[in-house]
Amino acid sequence: MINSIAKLLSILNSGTDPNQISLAFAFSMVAGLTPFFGIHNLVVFFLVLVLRVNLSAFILGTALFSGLAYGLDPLFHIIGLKLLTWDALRGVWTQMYNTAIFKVARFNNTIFMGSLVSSIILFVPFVLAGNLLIRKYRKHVLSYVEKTRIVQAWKATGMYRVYQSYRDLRSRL
Amino acid sequence: MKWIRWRGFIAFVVLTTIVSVFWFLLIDQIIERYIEKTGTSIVGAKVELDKADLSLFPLGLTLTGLQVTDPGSPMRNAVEAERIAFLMDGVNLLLRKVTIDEMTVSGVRLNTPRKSSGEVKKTPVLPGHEEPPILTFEIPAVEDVLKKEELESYKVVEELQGRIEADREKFTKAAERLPDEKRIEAYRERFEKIKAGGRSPAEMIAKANDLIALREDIEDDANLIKTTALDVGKTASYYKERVEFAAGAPQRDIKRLTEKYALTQQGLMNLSKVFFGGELFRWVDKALLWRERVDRVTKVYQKEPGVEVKPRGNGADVRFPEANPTPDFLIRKALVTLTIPSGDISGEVLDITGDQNILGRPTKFRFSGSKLKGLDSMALIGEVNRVVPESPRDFIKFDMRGYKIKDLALAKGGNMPLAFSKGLADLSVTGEIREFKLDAGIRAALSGIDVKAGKPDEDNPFLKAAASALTGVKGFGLQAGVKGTVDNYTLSMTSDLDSVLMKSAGSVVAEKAAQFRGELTREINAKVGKPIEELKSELSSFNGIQQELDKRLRLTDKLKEEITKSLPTKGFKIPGLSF
Repeated sequence: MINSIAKLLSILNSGTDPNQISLAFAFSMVAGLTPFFGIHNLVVFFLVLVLRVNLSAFILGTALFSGLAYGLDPLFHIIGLKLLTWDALRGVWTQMYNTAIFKVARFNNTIFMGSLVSSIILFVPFVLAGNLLIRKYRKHVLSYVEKTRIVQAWKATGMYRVYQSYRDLRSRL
Repeated sequence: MKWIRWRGFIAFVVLTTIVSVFWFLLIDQIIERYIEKTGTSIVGAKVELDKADLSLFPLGLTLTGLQVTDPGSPMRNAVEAERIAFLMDGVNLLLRKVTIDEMTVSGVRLNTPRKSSGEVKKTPVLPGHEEPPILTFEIPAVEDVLKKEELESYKVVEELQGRIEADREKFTKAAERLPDEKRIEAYRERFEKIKAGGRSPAEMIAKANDLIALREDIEDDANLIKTTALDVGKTASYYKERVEFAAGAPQRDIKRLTEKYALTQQGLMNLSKVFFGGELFRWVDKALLWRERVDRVTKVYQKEPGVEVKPRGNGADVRFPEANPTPDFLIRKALVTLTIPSGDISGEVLDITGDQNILGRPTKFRFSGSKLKGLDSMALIGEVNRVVPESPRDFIKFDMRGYKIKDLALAKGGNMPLAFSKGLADLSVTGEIREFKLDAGIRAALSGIDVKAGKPDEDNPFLKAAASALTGVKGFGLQAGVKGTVDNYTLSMTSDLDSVLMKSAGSVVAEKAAQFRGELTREINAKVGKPIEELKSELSSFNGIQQELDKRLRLTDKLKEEITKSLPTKGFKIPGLSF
């Protein structure tokens, strides 16, 4: 837990573009909340690797959301069941059910459908809210913390300089 | 471009390739484990596979070294197949439908030995049926039989003895409490007293009212007597029937025990069931067990549109109507080569699927072979029909001609060993299970046989006679019928052997049976004869109570009649009064 918080702070405190972080967390939400072995996650991984999003944030987010998904499965089941048995959508589902992609992707499974639709709906609000929160954090919290004496003292140490040079090297690699 | 990470694209391609390569390297083992696990759960004993080989172009699977353990005999394989190969329809597979146009199954052998036990759980309980008769050829001592058996006679007599006595006591006491002759005499005195009353109009009216009141009192008492008399009558007639039943019980016991313990001539007529019945029961039981296992593959599961609930955490699969419904799993044709000691038999199984209702065709199979070693010809055809799941129907027809018998032991141990050292057999079997009702017929004809029967040092006269008669038999026919349900069936059997035995050993059997019956009759009658007579005499006590109550009823009726006569008739006039 402490390790996860430390990693999260490390990501937030880095100079990475907030868009890249919030997008990574949004993708991790899709990958983590939905069943892992699915064709949709192949698309998610492709996008995560090809788009310039923060990979550390994605890995951390996937782990966190996967844990969360266990508790949310009953809710996703209810959402998925409502959607799949909704009379207005019956025609659409029936047509899709007769296609290979629908069956391979297991969209007719209630948890699958419930979690995927939920995470897609939350995707854009999540990115926007993430951006806002990261910016606010960096402006108010981070700038305040960096001005504190402890941090100033830490930054003045040789160990910090070594760490800083190591981080620069990593970012250039 | 700022947002595109080309190195990520390369990483994705590399990662996907690595995963695909690992999947391809491991998929054979995954399939192998899956087949072993699924097969084991269906059969109820180990199903093992040496190797599974998946090819992608064209999409197909080859399985080698399949062994299916016989659950009833874990050190033997029920079926062994050297090679199973088939191609799959890739497009249908994407739609989660396994469609195999043609499957080749070669090197199939039945009942082969195993190196290690294939038992995974206890042998399942065999279907229920009547116990095959056990023939000991020895009549036990009557004393031992009576100690072991529960006799209906004893039970009925014991039960009646207590109940009749209790009811007799009850009715005697009830009769004592009812109005008796003294009370009726008191009514008469009251009647005479009223009659002797005055003759004035007012006195005559009072007299009439008193008489009516008296008649009502008598009527009330008479009703009480009548109710009890009816009860006594009903109880007496019930006990009469029960005592008659009890009187017939010894004869029924004697008949039952004689049939069970003494070899009757009638029993001798069905002796073929004793020799062949046990083996036949085992065959039918085995066939029914395998049918039940086949049923797990061909059984139609609910696949109608709707919600299919899965275990918790897995959600539920919602099914929608399919544009062109096709089975989830279908083997259109399986070509099978069966290797038996006489040679190779080829055949085919058509339309293997669990969705016969969707396909609209049943699973059919046919196998045949001719000019085999020690066998002229054999043919097997059958059908497993679940097209209408509510009305399942299975059918099988098997024909075997010219099977050369060599050292076939029918009864190895026991009192009467029976074996055919040589001979020729024709066998035909037809069987049908329609909605769990079983109906099968077996016909066998044996010719040119050399029979070895009985023990050389046998001193039992019946066994001696029977063995000598059987040894002379050169050929016989046998017909058997299996009827009932798959859970409970009966076997009937007739054979020429029955009449052979009847002729040779019938008189010995009749004499022994008569002796046993005589002794049994003496013993049972000695025990229950007297109690039954006592029961009969106790019944007469009910008649006594009944007669007494009838007598009281007659007296009350007579008195009532006299009272009625002395009452004024309708429309009577009293002088000086007008109404």
